[in-house]
Amino acid sequence: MRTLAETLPKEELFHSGHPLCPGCPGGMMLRWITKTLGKNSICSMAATCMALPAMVYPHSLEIPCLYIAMAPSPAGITGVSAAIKILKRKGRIPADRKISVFALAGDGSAGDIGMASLSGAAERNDDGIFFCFDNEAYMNTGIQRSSSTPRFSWTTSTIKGKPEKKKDLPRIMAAHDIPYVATVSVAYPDDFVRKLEKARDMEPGFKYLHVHSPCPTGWRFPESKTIEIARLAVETGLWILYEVDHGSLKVNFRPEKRRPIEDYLRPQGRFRELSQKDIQSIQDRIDNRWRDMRN
Amino acid sequence: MNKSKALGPDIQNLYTYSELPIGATAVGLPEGRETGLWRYMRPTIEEKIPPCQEACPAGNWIQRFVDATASGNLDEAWRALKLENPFPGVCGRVCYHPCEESCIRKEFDVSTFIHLIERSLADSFFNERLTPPIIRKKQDKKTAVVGSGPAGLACAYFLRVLGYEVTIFEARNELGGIPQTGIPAYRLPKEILNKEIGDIIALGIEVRKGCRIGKDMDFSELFTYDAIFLATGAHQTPPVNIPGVTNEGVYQGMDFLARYNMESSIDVGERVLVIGGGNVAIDVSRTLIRLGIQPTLLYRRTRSEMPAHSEEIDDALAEGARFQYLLSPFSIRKSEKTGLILECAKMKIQGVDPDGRPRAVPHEGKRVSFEADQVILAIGEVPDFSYLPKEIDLIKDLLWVNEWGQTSVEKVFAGGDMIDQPWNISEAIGSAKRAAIAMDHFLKGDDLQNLFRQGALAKTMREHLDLDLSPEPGHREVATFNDLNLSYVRSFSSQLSGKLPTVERICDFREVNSGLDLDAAIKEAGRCLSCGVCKMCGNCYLFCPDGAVQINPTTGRYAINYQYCKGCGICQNECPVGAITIEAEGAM
Amino acid sequence: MGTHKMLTGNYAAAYGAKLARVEVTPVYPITPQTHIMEKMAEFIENGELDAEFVSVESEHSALAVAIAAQATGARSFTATSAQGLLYMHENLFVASGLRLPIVMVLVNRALGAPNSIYPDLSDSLDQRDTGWIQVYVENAQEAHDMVVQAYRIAEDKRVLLPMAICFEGIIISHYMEPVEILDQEKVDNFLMPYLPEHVILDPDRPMSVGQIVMDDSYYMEYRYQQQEAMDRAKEVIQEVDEAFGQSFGRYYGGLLSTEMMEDAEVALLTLGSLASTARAVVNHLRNEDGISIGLVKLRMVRPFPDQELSELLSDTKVVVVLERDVSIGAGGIVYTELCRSLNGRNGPHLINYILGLGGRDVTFEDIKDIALLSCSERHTTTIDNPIRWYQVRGL
Repeated sequence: MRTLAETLPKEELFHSGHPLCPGCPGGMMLRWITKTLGKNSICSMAATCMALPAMVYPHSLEIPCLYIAMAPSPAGITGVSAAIKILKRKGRIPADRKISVFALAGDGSAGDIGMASLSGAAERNDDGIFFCFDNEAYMNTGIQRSSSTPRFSWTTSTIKGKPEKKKDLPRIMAAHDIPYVATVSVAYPDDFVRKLEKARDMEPGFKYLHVHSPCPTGWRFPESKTIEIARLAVETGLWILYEVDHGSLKVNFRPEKRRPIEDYLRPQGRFRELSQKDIQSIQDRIDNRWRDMRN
Repeated sequence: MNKSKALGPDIQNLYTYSELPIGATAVGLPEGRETGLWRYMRPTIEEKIPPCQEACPAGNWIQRFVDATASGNLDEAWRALKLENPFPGVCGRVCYHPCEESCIRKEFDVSTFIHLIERSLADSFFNERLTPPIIRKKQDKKTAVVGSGPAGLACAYFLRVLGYEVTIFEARNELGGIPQTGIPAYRLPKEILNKEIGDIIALGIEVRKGCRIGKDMDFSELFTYDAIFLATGAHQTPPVNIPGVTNEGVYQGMDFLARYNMESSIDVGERVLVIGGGNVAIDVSRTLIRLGIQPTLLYRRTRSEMPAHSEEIDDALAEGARFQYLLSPFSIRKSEKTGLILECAKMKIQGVDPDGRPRAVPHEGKRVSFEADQVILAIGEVPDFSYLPKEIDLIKDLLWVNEWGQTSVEKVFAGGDMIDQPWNISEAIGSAKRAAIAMDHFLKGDDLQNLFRQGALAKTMREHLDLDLSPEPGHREVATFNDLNLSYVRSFSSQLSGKLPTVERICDFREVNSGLDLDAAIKEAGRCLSCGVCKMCGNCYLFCPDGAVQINPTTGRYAINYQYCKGCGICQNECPVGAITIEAEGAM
Repeated sequence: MGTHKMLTGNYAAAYGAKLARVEVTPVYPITPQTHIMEKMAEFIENGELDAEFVSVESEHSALAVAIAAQATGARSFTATSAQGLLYMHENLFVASGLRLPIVMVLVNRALGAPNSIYPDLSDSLDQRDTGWIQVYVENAQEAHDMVVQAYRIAEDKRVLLPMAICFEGIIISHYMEPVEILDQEKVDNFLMPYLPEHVILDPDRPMSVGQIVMDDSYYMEYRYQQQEAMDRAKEVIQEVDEAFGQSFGRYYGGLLSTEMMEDAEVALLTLGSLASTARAVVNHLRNEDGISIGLVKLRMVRPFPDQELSELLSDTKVVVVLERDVSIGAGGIVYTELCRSLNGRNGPHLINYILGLGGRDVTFEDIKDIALLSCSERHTTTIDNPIRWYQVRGL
């Protein structure tokens, strides 16, 4: 069987020499996305770390890319896909040309400031793929709490740990009854690319991919451990890889034996202050979630 | 807009407002931002030596043939196997696979069963006469090989592969040495051995059987050859200091096996005592069992000190051999009524011998006697050096050779059981290979001493012929457990090979251990962790956030582009096989 | 000749957008603009217009969608009012900074609090710094005509800026007037399709649209490019007015229009629907009372006709700025702009009347009173309290 490295196109549309931090999972994600979607794509970018390689000249993304503002990257999908539709009808773009429209936004953009835009584009089922690059805080501004920051996590705006729970954006998006919602992890590129291909090849409509993206800078772990941390999130059962394909939910990976959540929390500086009780409460939540996910 | 003028602030040559593209757009791709300048840790793709290969005395290219098997590329697997070893069918059966002892997979679940993969490959190619992976063009030099055991045949094979003319001199009328005469068929079927010998000879090797050097031909005649390899093994019985060993009914173990193996019959009574704790003692015992006799094996130490392979001891016990420990033969007497009486001293373990083994000492002069029809002494053999000229130096009871197998006479090399190394087939093949490589250099007029000092003297054919495609060959470390990332390993247990049921196997000399069928072998090969050797899984390429790991189009292997690599170290962390190292920039 | 219909200002604007063959229309409802959205939806639903109607979830997204669509090469159109306009505020800068010739109708409405659906031009005048061309029209016909003109002005390669057509809610948006709907074929000749070369999201020509510039690189250069384009827009606006007049027989004067200004000692300067009332007052005072008075109808607030006004008003003694907006703490926005225009010149006295806020009726008599009072001030040397709130009860 050929490996993903063999089957993915060799051409890099996301180029080396970009300013993302060493060990940033965004670099991988952008490489996989551009390799999977190819040149015939248009990107709508939110204010995110990902805008740095894509929007600062000399830029690294060999795909047309639009930055409007922090909130409306989903509206970017709407506008671009609406334009493509009418321009195809009018013959200014060949009717048979497939152009993939996608948006890239961080968790703060997707789940906080851009939530209305995201929900709107999803409800209208506008044609495109939305990536929520979830690094669980406002990283580009210097690690501030977002609605996606997990409970107990340190950020520069929650120095004693965030008291509230993480917003479950993928489930909110699934509630929009769009054609496709999937959770992915940078530690599982095969799963990532398979789901992206599925979204790409689906009928027109809004597809949502939520990427669990450990941030070495903001989560306080060594930059060589990005994939290890991402994998631990899945192996401990904290981050569940699933997809909701036209309303039907499927868990794509069930760890044979879930590792204790402590394995995931301990290597991260942002969880350094957690008490045993805090850890247990996270463990309980994971266990309950999996009970719900049993079928 | 042209790419030569950048829009970034770091470039001096800035555009004026009227030259800029309008609409805050930027067109162009990076060419100058060298993110490699950020790097303070430097990853290097640096393959390591798999511990199995390090442990293999024969120098087999284990990772390569196992990996090729796993990917179903059997021809390639066969070529990699045959490149380093002309006896995969034999080794797959009788080598005690130290490779598996050092297999890192053992720490995770169970070792990869390398010998079964090797054997399965050999069996599946049994009916094909594949030429070796490479035969170098004819070299204008003639070589002689004395002795046709595994060392002699292997050396002949490697020399032939290297393009030399080879003549083998064998004292007996059969080729094969110990595997032919000493290893019973239930462990090594004759057709397997003879097939592999046949394949070697078919490469165009001249064979002179029944030609004992020093008797049928003078040693000096060998000097007409350009180089000579001696591999006459160890077949002589050492002096045994036990009264009565010359009595009728007392055999030497190797003689007993040879007689049985060559003549397929031997007269023995009901009561047979076997003395010794090595593999020969076990082979003798199990041969006796197959002749319908239940032997008693006497050993001077205890089970845990027996040099025989543990699995063989278990098999012998299962087949009905009786073992008695802490008994040392004292004398053998002839009795008119009862045949032979063997008197033994009772021993006890006290202190340690100079070689580190527990020392057996007489236990307060206690004695015990056994009645027997035959007594078979399996307490070792020594080489016969009587045919050698005086110029060839010995050391203690062995032939002196240097690190690359050269004797004190320049054009004479040696290997196998004559020299100071463990006596087994893989060591024999390994010594033959090292000598063949050294002979190649010698015949080309190279300065062997100098090559050795530079570390340029290869120990394997792949290195010697420059077939190893590792990105940075040369000095390499042996991979360890900590080098691997086992997150990518799924546990699955191997399908163990079976054994013939005991009741069936004691009736005849059918092979006891069955191999794996090819599908099972391919599956088993999939368990290999490829320690230290890149399997092109692509993790480094996929996970590099900077696209700095790409395939080098000329080598087809992954390479790191240091112009862009920021040194995050994810490639090193996520390499399943530990083929990437990382150290502080400038530490070299 | 086009066809004539009784239309509200909103419908007249929507007909203009239809004739301009707009391609993507993202709109969010807000009174008093909502009729435009409804009419566009109807046109598209009926097949009268081949376009994508996008019912967005907010004005912020409305303009974002318009930006994205325009950047992909489609002609975009949207409309809003007051709070909605302020909600899209950040994107106004994006549209102009990206040099996307989006056209938007701004139906002026007072900004809360207190809340009112009646007009106050402050909502759009507030946005004069966002880099959009702004035209203020006085009736439904002008609204209709200007939507068509706007695309030709905005898409001109010398300009490439977004443009807003502003008119007062309720007064213009909701009252019906006879309107000549332009002939489609003539509009098609007047207006070429939008085929952008400068900014385009085209996979064959990848570019980063809306790039981030670092501290000392190109921010100022990009801003200066906008200023230059806005300056060039002045001549384009005049050219397009001329071309429109030749095609359709109506001339609007471009940046501004005047009435009886040739020898006027007193000038009333206003914009929007007040211009109609002021015109009647000027005609009355000239014809009945022989007063030397004229009217300046300001059309373009951006680009602001600085030079044109300073030349026009050089011999005028008093300029009375009547406006339905205010910048709290400074005065009428147009008045302060005019002060800037005439800066440093020994020009006319400037008097500012802030009136009609929140849709309070400004009658013929109101303006006549103001005009007569101003006439009496033309010989004074200084003007006391030049900024005057009119109609405030108790003041």
